[in-house]
Amino acid sequence: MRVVADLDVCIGAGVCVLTAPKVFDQSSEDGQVRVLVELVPAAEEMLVREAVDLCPSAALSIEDDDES
Amino acid sequence: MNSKQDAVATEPVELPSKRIERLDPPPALRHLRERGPACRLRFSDGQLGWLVLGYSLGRELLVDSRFSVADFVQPLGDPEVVGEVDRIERSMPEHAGVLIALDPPQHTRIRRAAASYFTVKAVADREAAIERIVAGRLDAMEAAGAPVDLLTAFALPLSSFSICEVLGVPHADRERFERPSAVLADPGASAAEKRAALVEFSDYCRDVVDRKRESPGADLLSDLVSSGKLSEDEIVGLARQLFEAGHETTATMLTLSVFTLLSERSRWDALRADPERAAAVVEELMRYLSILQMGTFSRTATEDVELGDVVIKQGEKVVVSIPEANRDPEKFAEPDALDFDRNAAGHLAFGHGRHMCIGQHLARWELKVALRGLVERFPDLYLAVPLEEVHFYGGEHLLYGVEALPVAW
Repeated sequence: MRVVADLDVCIGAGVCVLTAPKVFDQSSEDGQVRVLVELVPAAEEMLVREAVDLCPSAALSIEDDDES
Repeated sequence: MNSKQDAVATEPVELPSKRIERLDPPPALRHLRERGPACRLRFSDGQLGWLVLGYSLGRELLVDSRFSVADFVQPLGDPEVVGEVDRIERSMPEHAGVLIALDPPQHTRIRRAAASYFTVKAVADREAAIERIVAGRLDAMEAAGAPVDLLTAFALPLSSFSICEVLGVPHADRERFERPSAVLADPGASAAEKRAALVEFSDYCRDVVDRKRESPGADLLSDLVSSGKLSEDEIVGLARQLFEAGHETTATMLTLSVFTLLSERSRWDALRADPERAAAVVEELMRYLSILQMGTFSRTATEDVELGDVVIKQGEKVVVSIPEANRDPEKFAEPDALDFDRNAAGHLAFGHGRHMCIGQHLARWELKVALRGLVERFPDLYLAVPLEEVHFYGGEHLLYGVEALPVAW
C-alpha cells in the first residue's frame, strides 16, 4: 500500500500526524504534510486508512500495490 | 424516504435553538435529521437556504470546493445588528486577513503563512509552557480558596495566556483582546457597541504589529512581520481572528467539560483514576458537547451542487449543524452516550474542510493538560452550587457554555 499527498490542496491541519505519526509529518515551514514512508508498513495500514479518511482537505489518497 | 421530493417539500425551518437536556442538542434537530440529512433553512434575514444535519453529508459538503465562505452569515441573531456588523467588518482593510471569510487562493496563502506555529509538533513543543500556565492557575485557585468560578479563575486566563505565547504578547495584554471579543460575542450588544469593539480590537492588533516591527521576538506575529509574506492588513486581520478564536472557544469548552465531568461523578472519577486518558476524554467531550452550537458559518454554492439527495442551487447558503452531525448514529454508535472508550476521531467539532480549526492541536493540548492538572491537584473537586443553579448561554450565542462555574474542593 502506497500513500500519496496532494500538496496543492493540503492546508496543514495535521490530522494525519495526529492519527498516524509514524507515517506523516508536517513541514516546519508551512505545516504541509510530509509523507515519511510512502510504502506503508502492514502494521500502519489501518491508521493510514483512517488518516486518509479523516483528512479535512482530501489531500491524501491510497494506491494499493495491485493497482500501481 | 429521503427522496428529493421529501427534502424539498419539507417546510423551511428556523434554526432550532431550544434545548431540553442541558448537554444534548435541541431535540428539534434530531427530529429533522430523522426525516433526512438536510432540510430547508430560513435564515434570520429571511433568505432561504439549507441546514445539513447528517454526518456524512456534512463532511462531504465541508470539503467541497464548489462552496464559498466569502459572504457567510450566521443563521441566528438580530438580522439588523448582524447585517450591520458584517457590513462594517467587511469594509475594514484587515478583513483581507480573516481566514474564516476567505476562499482560495488568498485563504491558502495566509493559512500556510501561519500554519507552522500550529503543527502537531510545534504545539507539542509547548507542553512545558502550557504545564506552567496551568500550574500557575491551579496555584492561584488554591491561594484564593474555595469557592472559585472556574471560568474566570482558571479556564479563561489559561486559554488567553496560551494564545499570548503563540502570538508573542505579554500575558497582561489579555484584557485588550478579551474585552472586545466579549462584546462581539454578546448577542445583546448593539451594532454601535460591536462596531466600537471591532475598532478597538483592530487598533490593538495594529499596535501589536507595530511593536513586533520595532522589537521582534520568536513568535508567529514577529515572523509574519519580518517575512514579508503577508501585508500589514492581512497580519492584523489574521491576528484578530487568532486572538478571538484562540481564547473564547477553549475557555468555553474547558468550563463546559468540567461541568459535564462533575455533573455525573463517575465521569470525573474515570479521569481521576487514570489521568493519562485525558486525550481520549477530550476527544469524546469535543464530539459530545460540540460547543459551536449554531453550526458552521454558512457556505454559499458557487454553482448548482447535487449532494446525495439534495440539489443546492447556485447562490444558496448552507449551514452544517455540528452538534447534530456529531450525534448521527450512522457514524457514532449510541451517539447520546458519553463514552470515553469510543474512537471519537472524525467528529466535526473543529469543523472540516479547508477551514478546519487552525488551532485544534493547541486546543487539544490545553484541554488535556488542564483536565489532567485539575484532577491531580483537586481530586475532590465538586460543584459549589446545585446543578440547576448553573446558568447556560442561550441558543442565540455562537457557542454553548456556562456563564460561570462555581467549584470547591
